[in-house]
Amino acid sequence: MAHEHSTDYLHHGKGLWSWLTTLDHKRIGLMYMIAILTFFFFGGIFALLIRLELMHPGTQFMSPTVYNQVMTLHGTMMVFMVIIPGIPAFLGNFVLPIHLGAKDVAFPRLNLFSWYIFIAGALIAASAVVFGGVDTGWTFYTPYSIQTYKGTVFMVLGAFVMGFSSILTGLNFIVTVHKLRAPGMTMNRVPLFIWSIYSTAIIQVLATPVLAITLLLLVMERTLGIGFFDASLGGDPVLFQHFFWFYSHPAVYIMILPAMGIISELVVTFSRKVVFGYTAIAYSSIGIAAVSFLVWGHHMFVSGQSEFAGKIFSFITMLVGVPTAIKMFNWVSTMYKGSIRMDSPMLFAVGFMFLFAIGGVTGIFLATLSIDVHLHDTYFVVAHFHYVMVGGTLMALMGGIYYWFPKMFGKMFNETLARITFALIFLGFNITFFPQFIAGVQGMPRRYQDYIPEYEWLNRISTIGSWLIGAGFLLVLYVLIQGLRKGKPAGPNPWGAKTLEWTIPSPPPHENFTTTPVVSGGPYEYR
Amino acid sequence: MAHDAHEIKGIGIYLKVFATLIVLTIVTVAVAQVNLGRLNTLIAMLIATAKALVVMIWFMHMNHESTLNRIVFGTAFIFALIFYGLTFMDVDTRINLQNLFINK
Amino acid sequence: MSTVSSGHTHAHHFESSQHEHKAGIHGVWLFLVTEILMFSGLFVAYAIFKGVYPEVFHEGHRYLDWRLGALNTVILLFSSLTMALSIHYIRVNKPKAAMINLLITIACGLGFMIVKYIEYNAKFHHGLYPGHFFTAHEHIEHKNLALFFSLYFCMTGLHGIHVLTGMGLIGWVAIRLKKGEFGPHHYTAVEGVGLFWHLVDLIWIYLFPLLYLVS
Repeated sequence: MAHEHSTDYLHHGKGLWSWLTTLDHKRIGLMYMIAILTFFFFGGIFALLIRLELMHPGTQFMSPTVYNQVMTLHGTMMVFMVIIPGIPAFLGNFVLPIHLGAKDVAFPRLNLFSWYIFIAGALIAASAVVFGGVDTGWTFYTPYSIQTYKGTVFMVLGAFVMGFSSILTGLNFIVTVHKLRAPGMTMNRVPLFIWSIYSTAIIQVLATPVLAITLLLLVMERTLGIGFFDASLGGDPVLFQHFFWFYSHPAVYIMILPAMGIISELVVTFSRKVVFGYTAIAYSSIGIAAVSFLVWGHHMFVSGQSEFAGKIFSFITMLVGVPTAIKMFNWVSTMYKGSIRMDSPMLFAVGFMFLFAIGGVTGIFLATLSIDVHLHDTYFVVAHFHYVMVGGTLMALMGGIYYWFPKMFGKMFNETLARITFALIFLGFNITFFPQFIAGVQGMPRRYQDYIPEYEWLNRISTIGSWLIGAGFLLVLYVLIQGLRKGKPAGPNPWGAKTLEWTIPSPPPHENFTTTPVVSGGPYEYR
Repeated sequence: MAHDAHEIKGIGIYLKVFATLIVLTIVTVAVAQVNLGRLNTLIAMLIATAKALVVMIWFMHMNHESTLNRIVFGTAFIFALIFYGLTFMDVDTRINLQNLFINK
Repeated sequence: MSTVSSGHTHAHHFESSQHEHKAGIHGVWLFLVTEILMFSGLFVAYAIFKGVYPEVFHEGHRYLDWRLGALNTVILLFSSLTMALSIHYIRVNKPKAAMINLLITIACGLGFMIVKYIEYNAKFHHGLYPGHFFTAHEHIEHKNLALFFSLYFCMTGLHGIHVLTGMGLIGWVAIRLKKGEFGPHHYTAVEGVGLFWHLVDLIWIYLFPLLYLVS
């Protein structure tokens, strides 16, 4: 591999400095990977601590005050520092320009700048721990967030800054998709991963600015007492929730849409078949992005929002199920009569479909106004969004990492161990979160450090499951490091995939393509 | 570098645009002095939108801009309206709205 | 990695400098979208609270001097004109005229901020501070007048920050113009900054009637 016409991107410059000043989208992608995996490690530790505390009723080793802070840190880190940037900024950065046949993203300097903003925001957010901590949960609801610890301001400012990173990455990707496609690469020929990252980028550009102003107003509320969200000053706390969810509901699709894109790639490659319903999958991504802006009120059914608004939001929310189901059916149809190879990435893809189906369908339960009144703020909600965020996004991210690992580093990992990691994560996940559906239906409220003894057996199962997930991810780390050090050369196309990144050497050369590719057909031309 | 499909005309058009904007500003101030009840806000917004369109079309060269950029820019207003519309839907239909806001 | 500026070459991942120009301007339009949505939060807050407390807004606007608001409107509109003219002069290869117009634009921005400063000072003098610092409780009619001034300061403050940013950006392109980096076929940065400046004007076009002329 090593001696191609130009050096590969890993060896194109030497030393830490060449990485910190790189404009290469592949290197920036890997820099996001390192940052995100680090945050994921800490977020995961917090999750394990939470589960350990909840193993039995009463206080084990965390006081309620500490518990609230650890829970908040887990939530904010996982949402703002892991899942939102996870797939777009890391895999998106690495894969998107190559998928399009481009040499880089449209604005490479802006791309590097986005990474620094992300790191700066993460550091500001982390400094909240030093300045008194945060215990609001990741949603920062007023009026509590106005009154509680000072650390809230830092966490909010951190999220504000990271928001800009997200906006600029999205902007960069949109321009890249619009302007840098290779000759012949029409929008109807781009891989489905591009469609999903593109839809995500649209949400990032349209929704994140509203988060920015919301968080800014929250900071002003705390420092100046502007009163917009403070009823004692004539403001309206529910208005904060409108502002917050106008961003944060679409943000849920920032988290899941890229995952769906990865699944589309994996399903096609490992079924060895032309994708079923390319157009349907592509446009359903845009459809999900559009509908995502119309449904935010379903987070506010019991928050003092008007009944009328609740009904309307409940109805519109049901519509999200349509494009989502379209994707599901198309993936299954693609697999039908395909020559399926159950390599580790495909295992994660199938695992995704299984878990995401549960997460999605329980979402429809929660979208139903009358049912949500009972299930709101119970563990049912916790289980639901973990099935979507972990069972969906993280499963897809894992599948994506295994899938593109050979391309990134030119080496293969240990396939057997990789399959074991799937088994651990998949089993551990279900053992952890399925009992939480039951606990939720039985009325166990979320966010508390303590609970009545009736829920103990469910929580004990859940905690044991969390150890399996933890072990699974540690093993993933081992598999990746071992692959990096001792992996066999992967060759340009170890999976027999058809998209453009597999036509170039692994690891790719610095400028991706020595000659600009000319595209004459769809992305998945098997047969 | 470049380009630009549209040929370069004189500065006359810019001066006309500026004059129009000043006239519209005078009109909006004048109308505000007359009490027309609720109509005042509506008229002020209509004039502001007219001014905004003039700025967009001639100063920002929307008339020569690609369809793509027009769609992109238009999208911003559509989503801002969605933001307002659905929030308003809630606030407008809350029962006993006046009682919800204390210190009234 | 080739550079964008003086040699009029284009970055390696673009086919031509025109291609790069189009991508750059497209990026600017997308950026303007994010600006509009960021401001939309304040406009939504304004609209919601005006619906709930029309009388507070009526009282609030009486504390604002519409003449100063109108003056600032004219200043900004004029600066938009000079900004558009400077791009025109670059395109017809008259860098000197372009430079004069850029400097006038910056001066207008400065004038705008001075008027703003005078206005803010007058408000502070009457104790009409935002939020907690509001001290004019004795002689006001409606209890929530502070809310109106919170909105006033947030909206004009964020807009003011954009004016300052715009002035900085125009200064930056003026320096680059001085260095001879722009020409009739090479002015992406000026056009992008111009679009930003017009957007700042656009937002003021709405702020002026909403804050100064509400009845």
